[in-house]
Amino acid sequence: MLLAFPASGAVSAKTASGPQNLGPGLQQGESIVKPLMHQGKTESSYGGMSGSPVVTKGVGNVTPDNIVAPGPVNFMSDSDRFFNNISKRSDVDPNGYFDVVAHGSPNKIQIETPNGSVLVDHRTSARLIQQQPGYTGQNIRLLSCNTGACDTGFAQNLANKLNVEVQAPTDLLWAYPNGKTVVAPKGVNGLPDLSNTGKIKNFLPNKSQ
Amino acid sequence: MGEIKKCEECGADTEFRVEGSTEGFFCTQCDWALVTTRIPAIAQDVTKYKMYLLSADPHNKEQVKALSEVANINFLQARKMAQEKRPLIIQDEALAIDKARKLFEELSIQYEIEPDFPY
Repeated sequence: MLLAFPASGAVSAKTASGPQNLGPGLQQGESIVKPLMHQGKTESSYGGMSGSPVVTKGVGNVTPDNIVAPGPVNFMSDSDRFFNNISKRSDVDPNGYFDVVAHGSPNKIQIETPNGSVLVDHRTSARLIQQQPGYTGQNIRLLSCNTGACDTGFAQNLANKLNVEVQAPTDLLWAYPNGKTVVAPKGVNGLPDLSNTGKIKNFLPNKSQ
Repeated sequence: MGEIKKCEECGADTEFRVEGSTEGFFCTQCDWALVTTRIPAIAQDVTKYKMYLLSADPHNKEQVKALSEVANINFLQARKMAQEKRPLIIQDEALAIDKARKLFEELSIQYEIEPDFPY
């Protein structure tokens, strides 16, 4: 199962800022939205944006006739080169893990909205994942840069929130055109520093949280 | 970046490009590209900064309107805020603070940010 939140297209989200009514469980600055999502080989737009914030509805409105990306669910644009590359990986949803592809950082991942890119935290991400028809509580693999860089960061928080194991890269995730990936920091020449590679780290849910 | 990355497919030179939140080395001759994520530090900063008002003219409509917009309060409340001593205008992450800062600087509204704002 693939779930992707990348830069440009698949999920369309509308951000709201300021202390206004953002909907249940949402915090100021969180994104909430009408997503355009890709599900499996389908893509869907949720249509026009309304003026008021709308909590993401997941793929409930997915239409079956928009062809897009590999994998059952995809929030990412099919024009994003990172997504194009990583879509060609040979190990999709390994060992039953639910793949989530997105541009990421230690504490947030990015989704694309009609108004631009939005970084969302583990809470919003958890809701988006849970709303996928293909997600039934599987463990998750984040194919999302740096989301495993911090012991108390995005991956751990997502594991706690969903009460599943989460695998995530400890550094930048580089994607080659054949789908091969490497976890490594950017070297002085701008290329991945292969002398200092990171790893895909496993995060177990902490039930006390 | 001294060394030029060669395309692993055709051997041609690559060029470094940023495309939205993706960056990497793109072949100049074919479709090969090695890419990763690029998210600016300011967007990754999850620190909750506090922005305090130091000085604004309660009779200056543009300034009051800006205060109203940033603090998400109505015009009258904003005018009252402009008369208070160092009120908290907004507490938010770096991107929101940066946006407010730019607006205030355009209108010569004096403010202070805690903790130090490194952008």
